[in-house]
Order: sequence, then C-alpha cells, then structure tokens
Amino acid sequence: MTTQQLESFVATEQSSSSLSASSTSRRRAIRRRAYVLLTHVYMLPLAVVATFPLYWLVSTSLKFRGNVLRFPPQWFPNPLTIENYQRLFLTNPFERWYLNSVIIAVGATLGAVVSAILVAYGFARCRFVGREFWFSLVLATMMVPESVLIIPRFILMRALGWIDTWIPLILPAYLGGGAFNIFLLRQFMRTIPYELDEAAKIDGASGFVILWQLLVPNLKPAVAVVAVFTAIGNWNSFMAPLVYINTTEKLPVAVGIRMVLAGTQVGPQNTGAMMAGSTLITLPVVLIFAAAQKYFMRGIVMTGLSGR
Amino acid sequence: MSQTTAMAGARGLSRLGRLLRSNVEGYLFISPWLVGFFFLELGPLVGALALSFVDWRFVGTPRFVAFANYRHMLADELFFKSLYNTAYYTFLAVGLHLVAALIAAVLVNQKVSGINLYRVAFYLPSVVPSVGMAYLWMWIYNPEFGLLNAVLRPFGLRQRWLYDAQTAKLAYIFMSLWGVGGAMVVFLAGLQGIPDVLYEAANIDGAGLWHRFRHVTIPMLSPVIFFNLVMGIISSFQIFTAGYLMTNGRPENSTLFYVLYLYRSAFEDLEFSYGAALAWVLFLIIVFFTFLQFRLSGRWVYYEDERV
Repeated sequence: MTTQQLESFVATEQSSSSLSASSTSRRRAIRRRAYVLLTHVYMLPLAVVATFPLYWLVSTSLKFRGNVLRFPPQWFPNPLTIENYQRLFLTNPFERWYLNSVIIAVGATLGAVVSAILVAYGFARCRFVGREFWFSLVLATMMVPESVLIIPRFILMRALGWIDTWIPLILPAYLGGGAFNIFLLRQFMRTIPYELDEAAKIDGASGFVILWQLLVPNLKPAVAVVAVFTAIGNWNSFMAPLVYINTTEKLPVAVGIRMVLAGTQVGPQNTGAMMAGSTLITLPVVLIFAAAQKYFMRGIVMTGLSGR
Repeated sequence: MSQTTAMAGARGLSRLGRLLRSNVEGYLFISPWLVGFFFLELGPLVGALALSFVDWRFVGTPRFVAFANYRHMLADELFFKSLYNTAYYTFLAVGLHLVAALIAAVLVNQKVSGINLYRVAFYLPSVVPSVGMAYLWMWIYNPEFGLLNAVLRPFGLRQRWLYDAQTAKLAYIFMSLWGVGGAMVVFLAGLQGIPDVLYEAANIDGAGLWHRFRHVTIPMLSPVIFFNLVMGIISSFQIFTAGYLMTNGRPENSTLFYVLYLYRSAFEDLEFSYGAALAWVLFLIIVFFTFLQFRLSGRWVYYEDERV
C-alpha cells in the first residue's frame, strides 16, 4: 500500500535471507528509487489530465476571438491577449456583480461566524432543558435541502417586501450561522477543558466573557474553517440569488455571469469572454484556498469525519 | 437542627436559581438559531406541505384541493422523467465518485517526494465554483470546437455530448468526477488514521496487497465511506446549478433533473403549489435514503470507537 508498508514487507522478507547487510541495504535503496520513479511515471500524466481543464479555462480566456473557435484547437494562446477581459467588463456590469458578491459574502460570513459561535456556546457549555432535543434538530436540518424550502421562503420574503434586496441572502446567516458551523464549533468547544470556565465563573465572569475571552481565542482554527467555508459557500451560491434578485445591477457574479452569453445556448461567439468571467469567479476561491490551505484541508477532513 | 434545614433550604433555593439562570442563559445563546429554525426551516417545511394541498398560482386565494397536486404528479410524465434522470445521475455519479476518490486517496498517500504537488493537482479542480465549472465544461463538451472532441478525434470517438440525449447525462457524470478531490482529501485523512500495526499484523498473516486493502483498509475506512455515500446521494440528488446553466433540460428532457423541474414549475410556470408538492416528495426521498443508509450501515460499517 504505502511505501512504508511496502518497505517493512520487503524488510521482513529479506531478514530471513542470508544476504550480507550492505548488499541488502543497497538492493533496498535501488528498489526504493525504482519505486519512486515508477510512481512519478504514472502520477505525472494523471496530474496533467486532472489540471488540464483548469489550464484550458485560463488559456481560452487569453486567446483572440478568432483563435478560440478553431478545430483542432490552439493548444497555447498565440498571441496572448486580454481582449476577452476587456470585452467582459465593457459589455457587462461585471465589476458591479463582483463587488455585490464580495459584499454579500462578507456580510453573510460575518453573521455566520458570530451567530454560530454564540449558538455553539449554548449547546456546548450551558445546561438547559431540551438541549439534546434542540441539538438533534440542528443536525436534522443538515439533511433538509435548500430546494425543499425555497418556495415558502420566497413567499415569506415577498410578504416582508425583501424581494430584489440582499436581505434574504445575508440575514439568514445571522440566525444560527448554519447547522454545520454550529456542529463544528460545538465539537471544538467541547475539547477545551471545562475547568477553565469554572475558574472564570468563580471569579464572577459571565457566559459572554467566558466565551469571548476564554474560548474564542482557543478556537481560532475552527473559526477560520467556518469563515472560509461560509465565504466560499456564499460566493458560489446560485439558487437563492436566482430566485430573490431580479435587477441586473444587484446580481451577484455567480448569477450575473449568465448574461455574458445573453441568449446564445452554448454561445461559441462569446466563449472567450465567458472563460474570462469564469476565471475571475474561480480566482478568489483558489486564492483563499492557497492562503488558508492549512485550515481548508482540516475543514474538509472534519467535514468528512463528522459523520462518525 | 433547624439551622441545618434552613441552610439546606437556602442551598436548594440557590441551586434552583442557578438552574433557572443556566436555562435562561442557554436559551439566550441558542436564540438566533431558534428564530432561524422556526422561520427559515420548520416554518417553510410545514408551509410547503400546506401549500401542496391547495391550488395557488401566486395570485388569488388558495383553494383547498386535498391530494390533487399529488394525483397530478402521478400522471405527469415530466415528473417521472426528472426522477429517472436524477436517480440515474445520482447512482452512477456517487458510485464512481467513491471509487475514484478512494483510488486517488491511495495514490496520493504514497510516501514519495513531491507527493504534495499531486495532492494539490487532484484537489484543486474541486474548489472551482459550480458556475465556473458549468461554463468550462460546456466549452470542453462543445461538439465543434471542444477540447474533448479534439482529444478523441484521433480515435474516431467524437460525440455530440450535451446535445445528444444518449450522452448528455454521462457528460454530467464525467464532469462531476472532475471534482473528486474533496472526497479524496477526506479518504486521505482516513487512510492516515489507520494504525500501521494493522498492516504489520496482516503481513505476518501473509496477506497480499489486495487482501490488506480488502480486509484492513476498507473496514477501517468504512465510516468515512459511509458518510461520503450519504452526503453524496443527498447532494447529487439536488443537482441544479450545472443543469440549469448547461442544458436546462435539453435535449428531449434528458437532463431535466428533479430540482430543475421543481424550480421551473414554481418560478417559471408559477405553479407554486405543484412546486411545493414536488418539494415534499424530494424531502421524503431524502429522508428515506438517509434512514435506509443508517439502517443498513450497522451491517457493514465498522466503528473503531464503538461505545454505548
């Protein structure tokens, strides 16, 4: 399986043979090198195949219009051009959409972080009647998809006069911050020794003080995970803004980008601009990923293992 | 004597006071979630159910029609078509996803220098926003100028992909495999959590590579596999963004996915009550699958830290 296991396997076999120690270790080194080489021989092509669509996204966005629609395709953009990006911004309020998305994502993330911390503290540290019941409902809501609730939610938001505003996109984040975030932060808070709270309580500290001064500083990695995932989730959010927002200038970029194609179904004429837009949508996510890689990976791992 | 009772009484009172205080505090902390739960989760869920028993097309007064919406569903060809399309997509995509993620995780778990680069290469595509992914793959699948046909041309395998009812769903499934990196990272963490001792013991028993994989790796990973299976089915069943942007049900309704049909019924045809009935059926399907999987999990999922 892994090299280490393979090596230990090889080692157990060799220890029973009567070869001299030096030739054994030399043979082992050769085997090891062959193994590494072989691994790269098949991993490299796989990695190229996996990342090629991303290369295709960026390279198409940098081709002249006439070079986009060629078959067989131009494998490398020659000459390089930013014409597609210029067209993207000239013919669409792309910077407006982009800014809208940033505002919505930041607003919602702020709310989700603050409110999930508060709620998680309630579930992790306060003793109250019905705690387990409510918490099981938090977990249950993770199973209910947005699409099941979107129609009544739309009717509710309409009754409140919030259609075509960002309120339905931002406000819900302040009401609990998402079941998964609550769950994650609660699990983390439970790993922090309760004795610390007790000591602070004896000193007369309130729940709020304990939470912000004692727990939150110890929760930074988990808070980072929540923030990163919520921000990206909001950036990618599609169905909610599609339903709630009508005015072109108010759209977040994920929904607004549709208009780049404006009517054409697969729209080869505007493919370059479309790839430019898609590159710009993807860019912040990749940047966040690169910057918060440590937290990101931990978050995915926790997401996956949370089912245990 | 009386002094001690008085003291016990005072202590009892203060305990009651503390209990009350901790209850109030607990409910205060979880109150944001409670508000969100009643207004944005439970309310809409019940609201959708109520809506599904009336006839309401956005204007006029709702009229009670009992099960008419559900009866209509049983006679609705598109309902069954969308259910079939979604089930087809879900089972193939989730099954292939698990296998691919597991293989990828095993591959990037090798202890070889530069393995991190491969991890990033396989993981990176999964962070691409679904909107960007949809437009990128629309371009890759383009029958005239697309990358895929350019690659397949020497083999005489050119297809019309998204334009052909025979291949359209397969194109979606193949696209979803590109985002296998998220599950891969989860499996990778699971692999790294398996103690080496188990492999060593298997070695001593003379187990080969396959047997070690089959009898050590798979059972130890089964909770993670199970979790990914549940979440994969739930999320794949809700495929919407890609379907809406790439083909919007075409050709011949072969990519009319369930949530797409729900959206169309409610927000394009303004059949709100029919949409609500569709939403409840979706909810029941998801509850059913979640329940089924948890019932079956006892048979094959191995929990290391089982304590009850």
